[in-house]
Amino acid sequence: MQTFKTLLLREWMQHRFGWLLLGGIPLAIMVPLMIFGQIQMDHLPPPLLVALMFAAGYTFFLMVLIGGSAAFQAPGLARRDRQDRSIEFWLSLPTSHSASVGATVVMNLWLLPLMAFGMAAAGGVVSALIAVVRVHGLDGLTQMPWGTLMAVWLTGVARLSLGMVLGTLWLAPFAFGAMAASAWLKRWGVAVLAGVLLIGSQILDKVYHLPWLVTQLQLQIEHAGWAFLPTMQGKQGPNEGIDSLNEMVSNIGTFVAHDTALALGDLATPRFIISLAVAAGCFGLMVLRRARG
Amino acid sequence: MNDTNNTLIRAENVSLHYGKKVALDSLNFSIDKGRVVGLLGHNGAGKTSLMKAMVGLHDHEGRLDVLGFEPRRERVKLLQEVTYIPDVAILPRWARVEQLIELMSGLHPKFSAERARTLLKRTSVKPTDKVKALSKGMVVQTHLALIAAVDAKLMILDEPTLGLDVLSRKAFYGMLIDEWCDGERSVLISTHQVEEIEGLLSDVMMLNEGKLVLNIPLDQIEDRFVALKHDPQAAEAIAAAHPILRYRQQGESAALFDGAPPPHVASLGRRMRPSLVDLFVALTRAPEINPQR
Repeated sequence: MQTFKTLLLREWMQHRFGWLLLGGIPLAIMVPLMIFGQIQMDHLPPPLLVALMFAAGYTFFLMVLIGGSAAFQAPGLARRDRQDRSIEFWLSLPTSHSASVGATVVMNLWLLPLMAFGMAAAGGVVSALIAVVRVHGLDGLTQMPWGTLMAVWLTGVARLSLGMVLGTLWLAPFAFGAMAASAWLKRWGVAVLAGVLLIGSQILDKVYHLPWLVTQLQLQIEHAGWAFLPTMQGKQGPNEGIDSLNEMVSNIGTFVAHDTALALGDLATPRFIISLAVAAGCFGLMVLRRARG
Repeated sequence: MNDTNNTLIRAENVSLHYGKKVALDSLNFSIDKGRVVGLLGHNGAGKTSLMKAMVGLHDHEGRLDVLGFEPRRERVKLLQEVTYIPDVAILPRWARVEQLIELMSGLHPKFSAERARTLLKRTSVKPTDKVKALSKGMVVQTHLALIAAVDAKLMILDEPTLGLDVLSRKAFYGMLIDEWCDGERSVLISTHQVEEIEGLLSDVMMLNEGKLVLNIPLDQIEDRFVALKHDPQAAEAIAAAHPILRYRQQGESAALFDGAPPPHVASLGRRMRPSLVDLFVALTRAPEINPQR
């Protein structure tokens, strides 16, 4: 365990700067823009709604940015140590190949994005407070139902954090597949994988009338979306019939608990087990590539 | 070199192939504790392949026992007892020296951070230095300080001073001998700079095209090989006795024999100690340019 923690520490040392920038720079841009720019609204929503709109908007924007960054850099991680020529140094240390690859994956696909998400959530609160002051003045802060705001915010952050973990698990076959392809085929890896999946699925569908692959890819992405935002599941839930913000806010606990149950329940399906098996296979390919030196 | 209790490395019929190319061809040898063994050979002779097989980074055929471990299967356990500097070892450029010490502390159970810092004080490298800011010589010194701080039984160095200037090479070997070799620990070192390490070695192994052409303690070289310095007039008679090498030394003709030359030939010259460089040239030259062999 000590070895794995140290391997995680190595990933943190190497990549923290980029992720901290990702979490911090948007806030550094957003704050002066909100303070010195203009915020226009057709009607004046209550302070709680203003706060929730800005917090959610900022956090969601950053979440997309974080997800995009993680997906963009994942293939390169598989070749990182080879490209900077430090691989021989790491291979000379008494660490297993699976632990080394595992630490890279866990830190860069889960822990660092979660950390950046935490920064995004904190930034969301800052932007929300600035927005309330700009729209309602300082009175907005005194009118704010702080208990409700914090309850909604904490519940939302907890749900989205879980969503990031689960969503990444659902997308692991794609991420690990891209990493394995990159490890074995170098710069052509992602192109080959994308070609096989996208073009191959279209050819199977359009030419041979076998839509199986394209359907599976769509369903996989759909399930990943449900993990992030389970209201997309379209299943019966307590959110049905909620028309007003007040109702939704007052039911947020029940709503999120139910959504969480749905998202977790989605893990107990053959599709998830198979997708984990595919991801494990791709992980094995990465380990094998590292073991071959 | 063959006391079973003292033997650290034992190779029996070890072969290694890259496709159809033979990199190592049925090697048999053993290395005892307390020895400083030079592994000499031209580029492509198989030195790196042998060293990588010894630390479990290459598959091989035959039996290879390193400190009682089967390297490929027990690489992690083995590398806790064996330290290794690969030929293309480059410390990660993003790291600071202090970070590497911290990482080694967590990754290597026998690493002493305190000793590493003490060893680094012998160099001009500071703990706060970034690897990318160090010269090549300083990086190699840092690497040696890191692995010399591991309480291992065997150090394997693959061309550790390649590309370094003479001062850096001297500093490297100085630190190696002063700080690591204690009569109990062993070193296996490969290099092209034969003349520079001759004084450090207790044994020498020479590889030529994957074959072990020499494996001998240095103090036995003079017993087995005879070098004769002779007048030009005696050249024909000397050549007729089939020396393994004819060369010039300090302006005089010389010949090297494997074993004692016939008495009538020996009387034609003055016996001298054969140098490792001449032995290396004699035993590893390609047949087309060394037709005497």
